[in-house]
Amino acid sequence: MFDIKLATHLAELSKISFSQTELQKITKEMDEIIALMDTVSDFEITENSAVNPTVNMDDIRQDIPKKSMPRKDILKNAAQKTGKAFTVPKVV
Amino acid sequence: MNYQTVIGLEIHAELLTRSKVFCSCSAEFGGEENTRVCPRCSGAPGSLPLFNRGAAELAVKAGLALNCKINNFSAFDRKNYFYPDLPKAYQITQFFSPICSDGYVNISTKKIRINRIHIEEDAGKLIHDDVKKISLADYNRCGVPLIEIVTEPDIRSAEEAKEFTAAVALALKYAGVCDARMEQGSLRCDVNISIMPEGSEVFGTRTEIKNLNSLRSIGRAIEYEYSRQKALLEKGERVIQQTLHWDDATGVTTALRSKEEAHDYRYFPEPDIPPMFITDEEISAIAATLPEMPESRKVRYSNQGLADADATLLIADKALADFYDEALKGYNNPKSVATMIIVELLRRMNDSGLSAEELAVLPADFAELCKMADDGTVSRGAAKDILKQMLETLKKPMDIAAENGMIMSNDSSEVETAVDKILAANPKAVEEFKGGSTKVFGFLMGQTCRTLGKSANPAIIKKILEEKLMK
Amino acid sequence: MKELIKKSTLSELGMGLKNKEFSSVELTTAYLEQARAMNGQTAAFITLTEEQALESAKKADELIASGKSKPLTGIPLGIKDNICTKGIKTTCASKMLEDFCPIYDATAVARLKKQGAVIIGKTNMDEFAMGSSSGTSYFGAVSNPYDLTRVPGGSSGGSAAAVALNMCAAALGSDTGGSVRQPAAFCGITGLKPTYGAVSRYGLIAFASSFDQIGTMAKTADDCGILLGAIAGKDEFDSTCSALPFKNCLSALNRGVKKLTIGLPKEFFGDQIDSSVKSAVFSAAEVYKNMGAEIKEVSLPDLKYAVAAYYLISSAEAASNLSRYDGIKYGHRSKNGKTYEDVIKNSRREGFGKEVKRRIMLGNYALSSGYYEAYYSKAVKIRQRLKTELDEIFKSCDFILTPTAPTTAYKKGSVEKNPTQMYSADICTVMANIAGLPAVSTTCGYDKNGLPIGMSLMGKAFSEATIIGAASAFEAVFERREAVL
Repeated sequence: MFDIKLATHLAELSKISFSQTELQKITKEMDEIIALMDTVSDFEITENSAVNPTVNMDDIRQDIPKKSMPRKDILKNAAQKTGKAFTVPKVV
Repeated sequence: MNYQTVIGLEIHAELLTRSKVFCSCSAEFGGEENTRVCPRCSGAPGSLPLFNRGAAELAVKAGLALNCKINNFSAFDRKNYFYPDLPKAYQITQFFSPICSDGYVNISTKKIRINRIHIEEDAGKLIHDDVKKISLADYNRCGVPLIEIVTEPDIRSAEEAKEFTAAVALALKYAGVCDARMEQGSLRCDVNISIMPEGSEVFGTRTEIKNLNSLRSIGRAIEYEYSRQKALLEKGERVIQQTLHWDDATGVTTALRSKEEAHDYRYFPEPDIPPMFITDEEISAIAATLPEMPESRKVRYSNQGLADADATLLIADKALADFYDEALKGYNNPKSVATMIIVELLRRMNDSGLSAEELAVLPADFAELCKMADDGTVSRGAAKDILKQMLETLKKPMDIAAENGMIMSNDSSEVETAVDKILAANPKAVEEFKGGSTKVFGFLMGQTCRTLGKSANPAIIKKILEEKLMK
Repeated sequence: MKELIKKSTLSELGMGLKNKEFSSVELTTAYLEQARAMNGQTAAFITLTEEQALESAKKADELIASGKSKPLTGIPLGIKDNICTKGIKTTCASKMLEDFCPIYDATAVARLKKQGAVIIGKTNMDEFAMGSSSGTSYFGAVSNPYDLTRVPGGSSGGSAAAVALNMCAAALGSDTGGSVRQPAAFCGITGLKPTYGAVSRYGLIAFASSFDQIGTMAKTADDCGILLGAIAGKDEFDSTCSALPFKNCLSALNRGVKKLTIGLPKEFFGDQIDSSVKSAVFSAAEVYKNMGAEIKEVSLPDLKYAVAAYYLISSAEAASNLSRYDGIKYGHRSKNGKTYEDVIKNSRREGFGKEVKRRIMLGNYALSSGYYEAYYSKAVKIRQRLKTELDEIFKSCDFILTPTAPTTAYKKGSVEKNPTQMYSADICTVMANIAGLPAVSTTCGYDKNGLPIGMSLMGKAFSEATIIGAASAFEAVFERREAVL
């Protein structure tokens, strides 16, 4: 059962704040969505672990440094910044 | 009741790659804020990580240096958590399939097992401004490659923890994997510690002390945490599983967060980086580039006849040990070369603040000097002077000796004439000697040497002086 | 010019430019006029880049004059607004990225620019590509070109509507669970989702990284192929991008279906599929049969798990991919809250729409401790099984033919209100993403309301040439109806 306690926990993991009303609404929606997801529960696993395609060492980037981006570009889209860094509100 | 400490370590070591682990920005230490940053390491929308082969190679080296099994198959995962020094809000690490596993390090008392070594990325730096109540985020360190070395809970004391960490640091330096400068943070240590009644086999609740950056603080933090946990248990309270911060200034640990609010990291395979396959041939090729490791080097030095303390001193600095090995090629007298290094060279280097890496004197020249002192070409005293000048001028020892008239004369006729003169000038001393006073021998020896100057060979003077006095 | 842009294919436009029948500036002006005229009703574009477009058109004309033109030189294209364009706002149709201006070009965009293609604007979509109606856009819902009261499909609904209404010659979309093919079907055009790894994802703002793929949308399958040829191929910026020599595979375009075996997987023709859709696809199979193909019924027994498995894995990846939007480095930053924790929670509250929040919640549910094994892990195993079942089918088939969507375009605000109903409707498209296979949707009929019906051809990995060729053969004998507003 997807309840409001679980929704609160997931909202915290997701770092999204919800009002109480919104939380109730999304709890109901999530309950329905999870019911759809529960179709996976009667799937019986017979497979061994996945055989993933891999890359060889030769195909991996060589350790050669390249020029970084200009700092003004890196900071361009930040809402709050100094000329040198991103401004972050106090971390509690 | 007596308690047994149980300790497991997680050592983070920065890899000495030139570029970052998932982008091509420079991985070098320092730099002005946010000048070693690109869309990838700052987590720009649409950017993708590009793994650095150099990091894999160094991690394999670390694994080999620490007696690990190297896994042909390894893969990256995402560790999800929000913190402003982590721009993507996930750290790319190896959770399910690390690159190395099942290693060990021998310390003086026992074998410490290593559970795994995995590759991950470092986070950025936050500079806090308590007045304005803001922090400034600098992403230069974001994406600097790290390996995390995770031990089994095999360590039982602060001493063992320090010895293990020092041994790991030394092995990583030897392998060229990490410069292991704890004060700069390129090697740092998390300590997992619990205590249990002596004789018990059931581990107690553990706490984790984060980010210790010196051997001393590792030792102190463990001692403190042992006493704290012991006091709790003796009061009938329980230890809470939590993450602790060690304050080196106050010498206490404080809680960062307790298990109740612990993160749920939601690890899952990193879809942006295909798993990697390293062949046995590639592993062997990397193994072939490893130098002789400190442990086996020490055994070799002991077999050469060096005292344990001397061997330990030499291997503690790879550059110095390499210098020693090279010098032996020019003059195969281990004890003599080792003594000259430890007694004379190290003292000079300490005085001038020179590191073994910076040493410009050629090992072959140094070998030559040792040989000259041993075979009497120059006196021991002269050899010290020559070494000093070699360090300053980088001239050849023989040239320095010649320029300064330090080459000892082996012409005994010259010595005989001098001795005769001295004996004639000091009849009283001769009398005393013959009367049984051996003290005056030194006086006569000194007089002769002074007359003959630096090139006099004390051994020859002594011999002739003795002969003449015995007559 | 108006008639010209209505009727011409990319190769015809290319020839016209090359032969100097018209200039790129003229062509671009015509498309821009049409785009401006139609955008009010359809909201197909979020941003029209008129100045830059005309500037590139001028450069394209110079390139053509110097005789160095390439297939797409001077041709006006639309780019979905989740594909980064340097210096041009790329919003993902979200308040979160309302003012976001990328500092680099996506590889696909860079390759189009290198050909001298003209980008006339950024197309509307479902927020962060999560949806199949293009109704979750922060900048307003997109309308269907055949009926403004209906949805154009999604998430690449803006690209689909723009192509259908000749607001651009062709467009890039992105397809994570059907987001190129389903809107192509709803808007009566052709949409191609390439093999996973055929096109670099560098610069495609991630939704679900192991499913996402940039796709091409145009009036014909051949045009989709031409556009794909321009953007596909190994990219050193994306390690999941394949090293396969892709352009060669496309140049050997194999038109027709003679001697090919086409599989009809029976699970794709169940009760949830409208009868009008089913009969149109069956008729198309008949057409292929008459062209010399062998039609064969096949089975994908575990298809029933596909939608849930897709939503679990894609939402898990999305939850992680979208965690970077914290208001600090870019994107909406809330004015509410003093601490980092408060600012980030409020920024995400204000910046993300409802559907995005649902997906993030679902993804974190699937990954969180206590649920991981039952959901995320299980879904991964299902994904593996479904791949195996498809491999089995492709041992005896060259491609499979299915409906692109269970219905034709539905009324705005109907199905969208019910998330689970929306999700379930992805049943026809998610397989290609689950298995990373190429699939092309083209129109195969019209329902009683005159709305287009789409069919999908899904092939083996890197068999784009085969499915494009087969779709093209069908298009040659099918009478397509233009959308008229």
